[in-house]
This record gives sequence, structure tokens and C-alpha cells, in this order.
Amino acid sequence: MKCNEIKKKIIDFIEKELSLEERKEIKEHMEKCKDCRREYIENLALFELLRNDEVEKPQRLVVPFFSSGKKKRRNFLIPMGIVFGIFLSFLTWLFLSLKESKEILRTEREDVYNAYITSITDDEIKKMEEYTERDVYEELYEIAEDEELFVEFIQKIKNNGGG
Amino acid sequence: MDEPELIRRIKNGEIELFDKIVEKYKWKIYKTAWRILRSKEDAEDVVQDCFIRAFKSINSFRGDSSISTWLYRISVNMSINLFLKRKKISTVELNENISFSSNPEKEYKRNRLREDVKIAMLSLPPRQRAIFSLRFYENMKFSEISKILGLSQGAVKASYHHAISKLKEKLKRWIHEM
Repeated sequence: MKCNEIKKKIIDFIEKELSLEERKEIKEHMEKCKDCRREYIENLALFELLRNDEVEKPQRLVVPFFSSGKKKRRNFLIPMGIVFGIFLSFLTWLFLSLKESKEILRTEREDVYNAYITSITDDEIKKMEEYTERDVYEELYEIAEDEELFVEFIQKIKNNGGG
Repeated sequence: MDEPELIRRIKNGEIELFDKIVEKYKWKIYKTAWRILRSKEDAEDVVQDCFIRAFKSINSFRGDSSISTWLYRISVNMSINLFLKRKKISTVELNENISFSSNPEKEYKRNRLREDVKIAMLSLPPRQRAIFSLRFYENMKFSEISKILGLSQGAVKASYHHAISKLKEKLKRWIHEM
């Protein structure tokens, strides 16, 4: 190969794009030819200069259309979950509190009922003839303060004869 | 999951899988865009616009070329167009990355070299700069670059060699100093 052909192939030689035979030929030529050797060295130097030309990197390469959108959804779900959890806890607390107060009230009413029943002596029961059934029922209704409990009290009286 | 399968599933509605493509290629796309534009902000814009456009047109992606070729085709064309648009507004912007050290002389030399490389690179037409970047920095084959730019392999190779000659001429002072 002549110098012109060698020089055209020096880039391919550096980038190892040539066949072994061509490489060998160019190498042998450059050992003898100062001009071609200089061309080779200059190209090597240029490549080294350019390799040091670093890309200016951004702090964080974000493509908001996808990645950030996903993160936003995730971020949105977490507080929503917390709010829902708090709301659920509040509902549970409210339910338990109401149930508890209802039970306390019921126990209180039952105590009053028992005291009322106990306070009625046999004599008084006899006197109860003077009471109409309606009077007793009215008193029990006031004690019960609740339709359901009132029915239970009436049932109790009927079953146990007032005890 | 291979890429044709990934594309098939995205086309079938699993759009969140597009994130995999974004994550795999965003830096590669950014680097080449930056080398064409030499601007961090513009390169970031190209990356975003490139993926949005790719996502919108994914149904027309037939898979004749690889995802990589397809994305580079979109982003390189975007970068070239943006560069030409910017060129009408301003010329070479100042290097914002000039740093200072305890050895000012050495640092000055380094900054000068960086600036001269930048000027030399910007002296190349944007398409030639794209060819040079894809070949020299991304180690792409000429056949791949020819698919990205829609040019013949011969034209791409000739342009690459021409770019090297021009860069060598522009940077000869530094080459002889080495």
C-alpha cells in the first residue's frame, strides 16, 4: 500500500476494523515511514483529547411523564391510607363507646328495676290489687327508658312473679 | 423479558412497562443529545420529548429496527432540529463548568482545552457531530448509525472520517503539545 492508502486506513487501524493481514501491512509500513507514523500518532493524540471530553451530567435525569407520575401516585396513596386508617379507628372507637354506654345504661336500669322489685313487699303486692296493672307498667316503663328493656322487665315479672 | 415482548405488552395496555424502556435508554439518549447540543437543559428537554413522542407513537412502531435505533432516530433528529433553532438565536454559550483549583496554571490549561474541544465540536455541522458522537463515544457500528440517520453506510463513514480531519485541524495546537 502507498502512503495515501495507509493514511486513509489509519482510523480503521486504530479502531481495529481491519483484517489481520491489513493490520500487519500497515504496521510494517509505519515502522519504515516517518510521515505515516506521525499521522498515526497525531490521531492517537486526538482520540485521547476527545476521550477526556466528559458529558455534563444533570443532577437527576427525570422523565416526569412516567417515573415521577408513578412516584406521585405512590405518594398520594400513603396519606390516603393513613387518613382512611384514622377514620376507621374513629368509627371503631365510636361503635365501641356507644355499645359500652348502652350496656352501662342497661345495667343501671336493671339495678333500678331490681331495687324497685325488691322494694315491693308482700303486703305491698297485696296492696297492688289497689294498683292497676297499668300503673305498674307505667312505672316500669319510666325505669326502663327503653322499649326493649321494658318488654324484658314485663317478661321477667310474668315469669318470676316480680323477682 | 425481551424487547419485542415488552413492546407487545405495552401495546396491549401495560403502559407502565414503558418505564423499563425509559430507565434503560434515558442516559444513552441524554449523552448523545448533550454532545449534539452541548447544553444540559436542552439535552434534558430532548430526553423528555423523545420519550413522550415514542410513547405516543408506540402503536406505529413495527419492530423493523431495535428500540435503541428507534429512540436514537427520534432523539438525534430532535437534537439536530433544536440545535439549528438555537443557532439562530445565539452562538456558542460560555462554559459554565469552569472550575478552580490550587494549581491555577494547570487548571487554566485544562479549562482552555475543554473550551477548545467544545468550539471544535461545535464547528462540525450537527448531523456530522451526531455521527461522530454515536461512533466515537457510543461505539456504534456504521450500519447502525446509517439506520438512525437514514444515510448510506458509506456516507456515514465518510462523514466520520471528515469530522476527525476537521477536529484534528482545530485542535492541532493541543495535539502537538502532547
